[in-house]
Amino acid sequence: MALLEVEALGVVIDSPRGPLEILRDVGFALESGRILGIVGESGSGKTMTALALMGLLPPGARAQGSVRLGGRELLRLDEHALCRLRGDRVAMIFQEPMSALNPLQPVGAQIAEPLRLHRKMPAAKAAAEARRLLARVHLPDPDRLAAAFPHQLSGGQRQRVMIAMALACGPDLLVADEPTTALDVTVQAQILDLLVELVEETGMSLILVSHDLAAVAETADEVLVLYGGTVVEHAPVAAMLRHRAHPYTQGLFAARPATGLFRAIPGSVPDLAALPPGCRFADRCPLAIAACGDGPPPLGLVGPGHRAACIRLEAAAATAEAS
Amino acid sequence: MTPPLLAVEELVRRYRRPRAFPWRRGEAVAALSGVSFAIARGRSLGIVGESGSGKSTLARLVMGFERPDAGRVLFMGEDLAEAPPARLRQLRRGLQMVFQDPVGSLDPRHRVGRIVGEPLDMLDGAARGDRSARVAAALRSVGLGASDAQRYPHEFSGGQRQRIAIARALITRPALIVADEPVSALDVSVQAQVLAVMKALAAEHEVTYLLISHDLAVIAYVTVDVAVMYRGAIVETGPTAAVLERPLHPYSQALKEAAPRLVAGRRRHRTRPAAPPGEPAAAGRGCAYAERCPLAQPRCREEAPALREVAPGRRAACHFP
Amino acid sequence: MSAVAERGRPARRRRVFRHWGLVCGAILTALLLLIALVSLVWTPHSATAIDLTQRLLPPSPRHWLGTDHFGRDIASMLMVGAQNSILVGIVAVAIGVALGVSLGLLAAAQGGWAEEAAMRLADFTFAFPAVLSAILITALLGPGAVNSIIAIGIFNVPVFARLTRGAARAIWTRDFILATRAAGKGGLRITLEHVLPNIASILIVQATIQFALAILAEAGLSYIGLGTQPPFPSWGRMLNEAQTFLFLAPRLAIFPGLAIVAAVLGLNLLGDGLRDLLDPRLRRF
Repeated sequence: MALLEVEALGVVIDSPRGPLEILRDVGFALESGRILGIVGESGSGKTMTALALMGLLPPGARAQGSVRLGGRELLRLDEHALCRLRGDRVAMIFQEPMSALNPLQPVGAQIAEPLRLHRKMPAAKAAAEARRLLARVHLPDPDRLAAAFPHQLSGGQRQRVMIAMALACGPDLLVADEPTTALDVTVQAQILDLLVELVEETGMSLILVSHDLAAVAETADEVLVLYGGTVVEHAPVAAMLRHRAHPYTQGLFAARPATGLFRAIPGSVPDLAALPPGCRFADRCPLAIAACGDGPPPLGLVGPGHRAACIRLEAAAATAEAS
Repeated sequence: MTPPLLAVEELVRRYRRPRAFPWRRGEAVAALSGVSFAIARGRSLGIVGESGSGKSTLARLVMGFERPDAGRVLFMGEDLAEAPPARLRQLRRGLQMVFQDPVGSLDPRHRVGRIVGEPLDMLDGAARGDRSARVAAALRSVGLGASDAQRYPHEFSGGQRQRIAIARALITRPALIVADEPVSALDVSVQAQVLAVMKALAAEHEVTYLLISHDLAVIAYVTVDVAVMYRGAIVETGPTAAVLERPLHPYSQALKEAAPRLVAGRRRHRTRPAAPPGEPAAAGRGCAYAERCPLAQPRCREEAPALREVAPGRRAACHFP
Repeated sequence: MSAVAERGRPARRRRVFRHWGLVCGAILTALLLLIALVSLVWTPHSATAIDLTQRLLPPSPRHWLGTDHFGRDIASMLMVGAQNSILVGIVAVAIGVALGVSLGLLAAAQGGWAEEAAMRLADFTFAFPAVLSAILITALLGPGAVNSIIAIGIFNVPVFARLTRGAARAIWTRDFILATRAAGKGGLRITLEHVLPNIASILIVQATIQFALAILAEAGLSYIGLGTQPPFPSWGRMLNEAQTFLFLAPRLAIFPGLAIVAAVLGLNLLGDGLRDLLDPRLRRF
């Protein structure tokens, strides 16, 4: 049994025009010690997926489907049980560590907090553990840093503090939502290296949410590509780099200036308030036919562990071949 | 000899930190410490650097939004800071800017036509020409329609807004456009739309860019030359293709190495140094990069290296390139 | 994502509520204006005619809201009093907007010592309690409707100056201002073409609230005898005169009190509703 099993996960929010299905039928399984990358642009639902896993959806949003962690159904847990789980078995880090940290408390105390809360550790022991965790995320001079306030640290250091905090209780699953987007390129590389190192040493699982295909490719084992709140492709990273099955994934690859192709996908990311009933990429897709608008395309198997949601997979394979 | 399109000479800009006590002066921090370069017509220059490198300060000084504490900015051989107002308006026609944030750079209360045509307001009649025709032409050259002039900015997507901003910059037929991170706020799938428009305009309208970006791939696509900045100084310059192919300065090498690449599991299962390089510390008298440099020697901490020619057409500020 | 979150269920309920608030506010305000306009040409009785034979009558078909201790028709007095309240509100807000907004825009555009000077001046005016400064002015210039309007107007100046400066400064930091500067435009043109249109909605909302406060302030000044002078009716003075008869005829206090509440509530609801309506970010749904 996989550590995390997500089935038919959906998120619905109410709007004055009726319910909006901003996330539809997301499913995947994640083994211990594995890294899953979730890639998407704005409005793809990647952050909603992360929040739904953590039971942290904003007010007005409802999750449907099933999320099982170690066999336990998370979506049916009450808030009290979820609180005990969060920061303990599952932990999360965010894009902007500055707003996730309390500006008026030394970072050492903030790292010690989950230990005192979940492990009922005495203060002195928790403080010592906090310093050990700071050293664990390669922060120099942990004794001095434990007494520092968030604004005295650089962006990279703050993200390391967030990671130390997330690690405090030795979680089974770490969800990282755009953890390096606010950071400089060289610092981003260090943080990604740190996350990989921690996964390899502790055996926890990592979900890395990012808009950056390349950052995910070089870090994750498998990748889930989201578009307009739906899974368009799900594959082991190496398989996807060999063969992009879905027209959107192909477009995303070609849109990177680093590639020789460098073509934009026409149009713009979908408006969540006006999603089409059929394939949500159809209006921007070069291969779209009338049938694409009929209903949600099913996820079809392309290769071992490689699935794509498109009814034009043969045509897509042919264009991939040609370019 | 005709002067270069843009010449920047020994530019220095310091900011004062907010003072801790009313009776104390704030500590001065140098955002730029002696930056010099020249851009010839048609040789777009890319500026690469991370936060705190001074690249945005450089843009503000080139545009004349701020005065340098020392040094000069010469546009077509003339110092903007010393030009009389009438001459300044003439010079400004040739110098436009595109900003990072496609939401904040367009006035939400104005229609697109008014936004795009605004730079014409300060020109005299002859230079102004037929306003609506020029607005329509500018919108067409960035791939939008003349009828879009009647709409408001919030009706457009991020990529379209950035193209509106480019149309505004284009309308005075400038020789130089300063673009500060023009695509970093956009979704990946539409970045190419904007960059392709920029590149096409360079050819069709003889626009030269001063392109500021943290993304090497963006720089590589648009520019001919590149300057790598680190903490307020240029550490390496040269032709873009050559610098990105084989960077000489250790910092440029680190930037290239750190840039994400489509290589499956590149970060997985590899041996790592026990501790990663430290974060930048306070500047001493030596090389600013010495703290983080894996190749630093004792000399690097004693003596700041000058930017010097290390290979034909390539300059780097490093004792051991 | 956050934009999505904001469109959840509670946000919607709030908007519907605000929408009702806007309608109620608009109706009440329109009613106030209508009554004042009608009173210019017609009132049930003369608002100033004293008839001691008709003292303290209860409401009746002849006198809708009864008569006061001089036998004047209360309904007519309230109608004419509305003129007074509206006049005070408009002029006082106009004074505040004209001086305060200019001062605030200047401060935001100039920065440096001009900003310091303008804002310290505003602080200085702000430091006096409004009623105190009104008493000071009326004491110097003598009581009367005009002087109370000036006093209230001066109290509005720092309110608008501060609001304008804060909002304008936020606009000045936006990139589109830099784009305009790149076009070579100066501070005055940028202020008129970009800053003012972008802060107008905030100012309109504040104006409705200050309008309501001005009506309250005028009532307060008239209540203590420094505002509108007899025989011209004023809601505040009606309250004052009703004091003596509070147990004998409480309606003398209740009707002008209700008039003040309705006017102030209407303007406040209108202001709140406009705030939402004029915010382009909330216009989508």
